[in-house]
Amino acid sequence: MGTILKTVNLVKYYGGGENQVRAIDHTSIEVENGEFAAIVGRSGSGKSTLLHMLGGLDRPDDGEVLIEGQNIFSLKDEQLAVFRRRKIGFIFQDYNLIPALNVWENIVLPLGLDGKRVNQDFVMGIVENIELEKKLKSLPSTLSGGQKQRVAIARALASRPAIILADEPTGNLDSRTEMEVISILKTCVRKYGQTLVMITHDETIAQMADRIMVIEDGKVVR
Amino acid sequence: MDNRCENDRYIKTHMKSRERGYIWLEKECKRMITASSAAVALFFVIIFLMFQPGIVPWAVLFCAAMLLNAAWEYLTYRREYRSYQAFYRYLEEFETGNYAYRGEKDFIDEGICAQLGEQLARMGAAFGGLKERLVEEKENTKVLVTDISHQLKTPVASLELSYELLQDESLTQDEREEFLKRSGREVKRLTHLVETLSNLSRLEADMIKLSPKEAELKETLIRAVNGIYAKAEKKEIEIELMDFEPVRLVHDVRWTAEAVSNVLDNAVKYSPVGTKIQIRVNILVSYVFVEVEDEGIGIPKSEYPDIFKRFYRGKGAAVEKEEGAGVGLYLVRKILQEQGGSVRAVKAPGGGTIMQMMLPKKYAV
Repeated sequence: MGTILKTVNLVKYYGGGENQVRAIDHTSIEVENGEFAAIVGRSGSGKSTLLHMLGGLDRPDDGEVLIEGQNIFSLKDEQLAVFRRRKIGFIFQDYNLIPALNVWENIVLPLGLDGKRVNQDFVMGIVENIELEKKLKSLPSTLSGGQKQRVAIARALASRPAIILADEPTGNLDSRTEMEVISILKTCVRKYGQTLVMITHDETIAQMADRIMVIEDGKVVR
Repeated sequence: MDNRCENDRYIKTHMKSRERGYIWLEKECKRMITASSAAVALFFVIIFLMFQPGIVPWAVLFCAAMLLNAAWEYLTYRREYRSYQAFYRYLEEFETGNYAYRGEKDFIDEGICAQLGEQLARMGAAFGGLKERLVEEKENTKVLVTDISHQLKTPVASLELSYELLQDESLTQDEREEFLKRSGREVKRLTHLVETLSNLSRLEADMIKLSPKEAELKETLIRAVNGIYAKAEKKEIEIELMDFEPVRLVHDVRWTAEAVSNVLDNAVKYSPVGTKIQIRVNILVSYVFVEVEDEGIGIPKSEYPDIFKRFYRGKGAAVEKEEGAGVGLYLVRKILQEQGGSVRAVKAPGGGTIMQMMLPKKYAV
């Protein structure tokens, strides 16, 4: 399959002189279209920094991130924002739901930002897949951790991005819910032909990926 | 090179001047200009009739308005024409099989035209993906054939060797018996291997479509346990199926049982005599969670990413001692994945392995 996501000699240092931290040190990775790739590393190995740059949330000191052949850091900030909205879905450890909006509003929010008409059938299909149809009008504060993460998954899927980036998506969940959430994510991504890149410190979760990359001290070692 | 550059430039300027002509000829452009000109003319006639202005200034204004309107309409239409051309280009490229074609900057512009362009690009990606998947499937089959023939070569070769040795007339009775025993073992191994490989290849080549039906999960699990019971009995291993609420699932009974019995087979194979295997079922929100815990040799953490790969076998001596083709867990993963489920291995508190399997309550794939 073709490569959808690629980094070329990515570099990100924090601080300077003696205290310089090499968060990402000349990292080159490739992710194939339709793949479920896991990036495994201990905390402090630079994996979150890497994910932020893959998603265009943070600019690198050097190197390129290519998504579908487009170097995303050659875009201006506003262009990058549009690009991100259309091509990338994010799922974070702490869900990042908007507390004042109910489940449905949270899910369709990114579509609204893009000025797109909501394809109601499609979004409801996702909602049914993740078994939230009875909770549409609930506020996030009334949901359990697993349910919140389901909402976040639905939100990431709703705009049908080519790539979904997940940063420790199950960090706050117990072992069974964790496996359930990853299974849902995996099934959905497969169903809609998307690519999933997941960051985690836990090799047990990473087993469920098609491919595992290990990152240590800002370098991909395997 | 120079010549080519010049040609390019010629074609470009030529086409640009031609484009103006094309736009004029477009039915939609003519209609837009005619309709709006008629409206302008009507407006001026009404003005003339109501206020009776001097004919000369009126005529001048009228002509100016008509020209301005025509120019405005033309420019508007030209802009639209160009975005239609961009869509047209996409369709043309897809027609010739170039699914990787991308317009200039649809993905960063906003507005309906950019969205339409982007949607076309997505369609291209979907078609391209489909095409690639077909090619990949074909490749996969090729690799499978190579792998299978490789797997079969060794046992066949050793069987052949035993057979040749048996034909030697100077063999003593003891030697003869030894070789007979050995070839008996090889035949058994080969039979087992052939069975596994045929299961594998049938699943791989999509010759078997899973046929999910609603059925009681407990029956599927019992079926799996029954298949392995004799083997466990021999090693005095107790298989305990913990009680759980009855649950009806849409799943393929035969193949799901096959998956669970593969897991159980491993548990029996890699557990010492007299241990226990426990099967636990938990019903979660949208999945059913099946755990198989053994008190066996366990799997080193470093091998976790590999154990589900086709033809992967553990590196430890205890694993190499046992027979196997490295297909079991691969099949488990494949069968569960086909049904929207998944599987992973976790270290058991007692040092053995817990295989955790998930099956969706609703069949979604």
